[in-house]
Amino acid sequence: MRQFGKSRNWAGPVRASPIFGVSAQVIGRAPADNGIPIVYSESIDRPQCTDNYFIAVRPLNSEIVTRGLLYVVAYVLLDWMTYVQPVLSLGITPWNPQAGITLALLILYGPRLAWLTAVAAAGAELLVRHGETPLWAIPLLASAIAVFYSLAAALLRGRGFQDSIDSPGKVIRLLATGAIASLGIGTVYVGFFAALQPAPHTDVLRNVARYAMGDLNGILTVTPLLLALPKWRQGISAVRERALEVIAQVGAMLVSLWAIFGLKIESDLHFSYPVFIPAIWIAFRWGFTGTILALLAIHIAFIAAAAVGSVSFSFMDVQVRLLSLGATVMLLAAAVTERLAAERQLRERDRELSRATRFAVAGELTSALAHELNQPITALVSYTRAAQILAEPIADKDARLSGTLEKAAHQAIRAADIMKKLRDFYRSGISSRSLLDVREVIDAVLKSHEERLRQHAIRCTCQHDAALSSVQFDATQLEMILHNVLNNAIEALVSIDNERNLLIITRGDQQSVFISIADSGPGIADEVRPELFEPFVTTRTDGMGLGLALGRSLLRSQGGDLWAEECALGGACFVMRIDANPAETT
Amino acid sequence: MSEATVFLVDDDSSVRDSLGLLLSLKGMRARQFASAEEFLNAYRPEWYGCVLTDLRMTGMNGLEFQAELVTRNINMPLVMLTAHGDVAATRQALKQGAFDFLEKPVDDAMLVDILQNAIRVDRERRSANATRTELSQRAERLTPRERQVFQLLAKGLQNRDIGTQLAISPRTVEVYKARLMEKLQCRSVADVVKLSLAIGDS
Repeated sequence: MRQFGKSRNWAGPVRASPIFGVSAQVIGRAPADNGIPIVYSESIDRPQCTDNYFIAVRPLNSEIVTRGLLYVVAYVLLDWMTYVQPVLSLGITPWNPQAGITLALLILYGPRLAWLTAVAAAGAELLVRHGETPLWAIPLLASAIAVFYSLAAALLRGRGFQDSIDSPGKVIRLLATGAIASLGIGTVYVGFFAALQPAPHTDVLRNVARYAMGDLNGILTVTPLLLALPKWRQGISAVRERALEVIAQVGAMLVSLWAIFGLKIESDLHFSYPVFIPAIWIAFRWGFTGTILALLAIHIAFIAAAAVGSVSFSFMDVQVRLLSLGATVMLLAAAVTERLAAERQLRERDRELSRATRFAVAGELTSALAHELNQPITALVSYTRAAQILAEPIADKDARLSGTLEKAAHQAIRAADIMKKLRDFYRSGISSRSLLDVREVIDAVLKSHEERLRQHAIRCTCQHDAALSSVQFDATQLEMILHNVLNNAIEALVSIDNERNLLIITRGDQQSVFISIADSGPGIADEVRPELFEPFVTTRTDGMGLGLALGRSLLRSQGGDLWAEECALGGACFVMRIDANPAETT
Repeated sequence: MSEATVFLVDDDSSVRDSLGLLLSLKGMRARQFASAEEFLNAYRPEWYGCVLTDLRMTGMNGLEFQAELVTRNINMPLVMLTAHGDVAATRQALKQGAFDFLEKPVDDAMLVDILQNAIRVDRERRSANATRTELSQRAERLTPRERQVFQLLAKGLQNRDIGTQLAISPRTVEVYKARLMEKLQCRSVADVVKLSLAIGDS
């Protein structure tokens, strides 16, 4: 058995990169003897060693060079394309997707590429707004942009943003961090020009807000989209599966956009709310990534309409509308994604649990059957052997007699062997041990019974031993045993009208961890008490009477036990003992 | 019951009956009991041979029965009948001093082999016991004085030293010695020492 510490940091040798000067780290070697696999990650800054993997930093390579160049070109191009309704001839536009791609790049590859941002921003100033910004100021403004977005990226990196944005918490974090960074840049930018050409106080503040909202709108749509880009194949296959729905949703979006910009009921944006309807519909059905695509399309439509001048509207108006639409729909979509994931996880666990239960039930049945059949088979073999001895004196009358008896005995032994094999199969194939914290398992099981506990007004108290050691056990089996015992307790509690209390206590010592589950129900009936742990004994009409028998045999087969005790709450109390250091094989 | 017997304890009547028949045909004497309790109630100290008991029984199970036999000082060898997979219980039985175990369904040759071995062990144990009992009975016939002389003699002391220790003359020691050797049926001092060792009296 190899033992690793809990994700201890392991700093590998760091070497300067030949391409980018600073930040590429050469993959260090994991300590040679432990032989754990090495995986590469772009989302960490220094190598780490966890229990299962050595995580090395992916070095900067040609892929990053291409992406970096692409980024710079895209930045300048987007700046030029969205240079719509500039305020005060500055780079303040309603929508800045280049902020979005910047943040995505820095989240993916780390602040070590911040200098690329500075290059891109300077390039945009020179090429798009040539001559409007004093030359000497360009490096200053460009590096301000780079610094603020690097800080934002540093705050977001390593929190799973690279993988997916799947919870409202992440959306809020993205919004807040993006808002702070863009406000910072806006302040520097607008402040700088205000210093050059003094303007009224209110104008400065308004321009800061405009700048920040432009950037934030860009971040809101483009950053999540770029981060989700590696999963485009999944997206396409999902769209193909639900093509009709996608067509309907795109249609609804077009209709709502046409109603806003085509019908021209109002000359401004007062009539822009229909766009919420398809956006929310999409959020409900597709979760986060699909919603981002829709949001991007809506943003582009608005900016295009503004560029063409089909609708006249104020600068701030379009920004605020896009921002509120984006924030609302994204939060909703993230909540939907989270819920879908939780539901999927629950379904998977249920499936796993019922599979394990089926297997264990089959094992218990086989075991019971094997024991019951073994008795008559034993008698059969012995009678046949006796008959062989009895037949000896008359064996010469018919030579087939002794042979036939031998065959009969052989067949009986074969029947016993079949039972043995079946039993061994169910015994050996079911457990895969891992290191478990029983408190976590208990919490998970309680969570799945939460609804019932609340529904029946059962008060559940957990008293955990703070210094409980982990146990080696099969997680699904432990969950199943807890489920069975807890289920019995809840059934018992539901049958009474008094106060319904459930008390779960964990405690442990060097060798074992104990879990006791006590209830204030009617207790164990005297007539079932002697055979409580026998299979097929039950007081319920809907049960098989296997729960406790199963639990006991599973625990006993791994050095533990399950028994009933006197109960402080007056009902039944079951105690599980799990061996903390079971032998590797039995 | 002066013959070696297999005491067969199993709650399943057909298993009991078939094994009993098989054993009798193999020329072994067997007596059947439907439960551990039935055996314990019927038990007579003069019984010998071995106990063949099932592990899983209603009422007292095989392991509890085994423990009870130890408490009651019933020292017959015990052979446990187990089912396949009762690893933990089998291990426990052997730890508690079981002679052997047999997995059901039983192989007849192995059954006879193991039971005969168990009976032989019991017979040896009993005859050793019997000898010891007989010798102790002889030693019990000694008078207190003779016993003192016997103990010192067994330690290898000379007549004179024995006399000094017991404050009697070596001649008197000689008289006691002759008398005790007659009672113990010993021909030499060496026999006295051997006997002392056998009964563990010193």
